[in-house]
Amino acid sequence: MADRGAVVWAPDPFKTSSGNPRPWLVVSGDRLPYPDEESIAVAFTTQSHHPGSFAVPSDAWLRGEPNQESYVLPWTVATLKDDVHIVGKQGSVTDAFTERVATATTVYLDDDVSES
Amino acid sequence: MPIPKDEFQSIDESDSSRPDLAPDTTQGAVFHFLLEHADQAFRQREIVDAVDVPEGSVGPTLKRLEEHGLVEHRDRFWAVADAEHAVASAGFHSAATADDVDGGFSDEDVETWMETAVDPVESGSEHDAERS
Repeated sequence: MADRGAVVWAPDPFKTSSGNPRPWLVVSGDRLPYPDEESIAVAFTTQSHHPGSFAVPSDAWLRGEPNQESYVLPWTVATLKDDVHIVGKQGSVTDAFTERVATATTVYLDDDVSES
Repeated sequence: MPIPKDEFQSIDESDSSRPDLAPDTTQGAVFHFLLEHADQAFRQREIVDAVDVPEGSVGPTLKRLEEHGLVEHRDRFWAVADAEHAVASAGFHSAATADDVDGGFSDEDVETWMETAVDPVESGSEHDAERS
């Protein structure tokens, strides 16, 4: 349901005791087992100091660019259930940027240390 | 309100699509109640008492949710399906982890982002008003 490259807000603050939702970048494609219902996404943050985080350049935003610097954390991964978690949509980023983030995420899942 | 005959004929009675689980629907209210109390199983009567939906609708709603694999029942007790609970939990756990990393999105951050959002989250102040 949420397209790859979409930036969505989750989870619903009414269904968790924690505070505000946050934006997430959808990195999964339609090969997921339940592509109409679920998405794999990585967290956005407004903080710049986390090692391994990516700044989202202005030209990577297609729609909904915030008036604030934004960063993604490719290792902070969520499986979002669209109708349980997603409460809004910020916009979307380019395929090229999404691909860069998805590649970074998969590197964290790769146990082959000889590459690094 | 009547619907055009064309629309009537196009209604697919097999109804294979996933039910709309928005909280203001009966099935959404029942599903979210069971999801939020995933460590328990309930009699139909107890669900009727706990959820603000028409009494007679709970039985058929549970059946429909069960057909879609969203809830399950043993004997007279109903609970959210474990796989549904697993994936719902995944999102909440990840969000909690991210909040630990950066302290969460502040009200000011959310407000700033909402200025440009294509489909904004309902504003925090409205939520606060509803809660109080």
